[in-house]
Amino acid sequence: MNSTWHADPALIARYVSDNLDDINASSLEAHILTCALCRETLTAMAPTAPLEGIWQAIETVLNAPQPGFVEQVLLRLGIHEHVARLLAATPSLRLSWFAAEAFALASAAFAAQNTAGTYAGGTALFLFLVLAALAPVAGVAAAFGPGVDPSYEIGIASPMRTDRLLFIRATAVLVASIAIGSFAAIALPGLDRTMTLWLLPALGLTLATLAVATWLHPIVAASVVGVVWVMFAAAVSVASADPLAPFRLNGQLASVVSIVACLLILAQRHSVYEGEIP
Amino acid sequence: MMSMSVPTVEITDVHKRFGRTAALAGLSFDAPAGITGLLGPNGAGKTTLLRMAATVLAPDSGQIRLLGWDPSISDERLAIRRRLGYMPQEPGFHRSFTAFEFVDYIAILKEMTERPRRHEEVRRVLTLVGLEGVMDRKIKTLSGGMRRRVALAQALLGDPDLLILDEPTAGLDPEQRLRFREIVSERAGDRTVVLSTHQTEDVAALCPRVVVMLDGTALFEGTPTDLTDVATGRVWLAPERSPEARLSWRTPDGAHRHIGDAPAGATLVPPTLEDGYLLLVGERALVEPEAA
Repeated sequence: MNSTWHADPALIARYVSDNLDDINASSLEAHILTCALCRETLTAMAPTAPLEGIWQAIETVLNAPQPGFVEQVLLRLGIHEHVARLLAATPSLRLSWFAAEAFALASAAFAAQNTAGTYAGGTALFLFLVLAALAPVAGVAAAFGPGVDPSYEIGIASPMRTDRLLFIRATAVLVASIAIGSFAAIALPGLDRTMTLWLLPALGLTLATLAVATWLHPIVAASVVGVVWVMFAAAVSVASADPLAPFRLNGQLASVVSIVACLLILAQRHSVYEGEIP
Repeated sequence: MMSMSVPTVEITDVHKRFGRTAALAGLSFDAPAGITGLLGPNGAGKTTLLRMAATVLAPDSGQIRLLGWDPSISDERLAIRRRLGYMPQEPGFHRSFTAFEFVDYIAILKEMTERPRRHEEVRRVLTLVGLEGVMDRKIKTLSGGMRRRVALAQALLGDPDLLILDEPTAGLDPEQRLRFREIVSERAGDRTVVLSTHQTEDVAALCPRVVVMLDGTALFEGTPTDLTDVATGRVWLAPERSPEARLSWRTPDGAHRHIGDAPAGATLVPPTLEDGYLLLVGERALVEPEAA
């Protein structure tokens, strides 16, 4: 259908640029529905940039590559997509890493289950708790640093704060390790609070690794912390003739003291992670 | 953007030691807007200098200013990093990532958190380096030349004002080197590019300014024409190799090209940029010392 009159092009231009009052705009819209010539005039004047922008956005979403397994899991857990990608680049957030950790912890837990009530059972339980506390330490050491992170040097030269990246990754490794350790602990004899005795030491040892890594390479820092922890736990256990002695009240209190001390050190020295420039 | 008159990179009396080795020994030089090429034999200190210009490494002493800021001050270092693109000599990759995912990861490190715009920028730089057809391939399946182009792509993210490229043409075939020159020369404009190379052809083709480094100091600063002129009147063609010649080689047509004093019966020929460079660094250019 065609109208006998046509809208002034200046009026259409004002409509296109959103400078027409509501009454005139409504009248013009009603007219355009019935007038092919004015529709053509309007189409010629309408800016295409917003449409192109919308189409480009659709294309970007459609062409976005499918993320890898770990990244997909993180996205399903509600992690923001750019944080998920940062975590997907963490060398120790890999299925193979989780599998090795789960295997070691499950082996110790099953050994404790099968030898429950014997001296060997106590030793196996001690071994499980020591390993469960150490697992995130190893993961954090392999999460960041020269020789571990392939794009470490490019990362240092980027504006994202390196300490922030490290703490994001360390948190993810700690959470994943705690989840795996908690799952493996189900195989321990008896579902009691013994299952949770390694949690505070794990947090303390992880923070100790991050704190020591402000002086040493993360792998060296983790090795030092790991050796000191194993020697300390073994010595306390043997001295008190109680395999679980390092994890009882005094041990838990020592973990709390360690956590506070390490947080203070990190608050003072976190900028060291920014690179070799002081 | 920096003013054309202010050098973007100012290095003043910088020293850096690694154990007993002095990588930089009182180096001073400026790089203004445009492309500056660093030439020098292995161990001359080029990579150490570029790592400092990329805010990765601190000097033991001396002053560095980049884009007018001091990288030893935290806030100013952050401001530099926001306007910096860096391609290291041996860029590492997360090999399980695709080319797109890797560059996207670096884009996140460069504070591009809004996904649609970030993905658009990642596609732009990958297309710029000619990798639009392989951006969804795992990096571990790409050739060495393609990986270097991925490394170059991440350095170009955000169209940085200061681009630091450490041997960007190493491992590239002639076509890829030509493409690289196109990309870098198009990007340069009033931005600053500092690159190191062993290829005098790259310097001749790309760099209005060249710095020759030797033993951690700047031996020469000037234009490629100035460097070529260093050898004016010192390059000869002779039928036989002179026993006194320190720098000479047999050319494909059978004559011997000598750089230095005139051998008997030799004809003076016009020098090239390479002749000027070889004359400056002498025998050091012909041996392979330990890399700094």
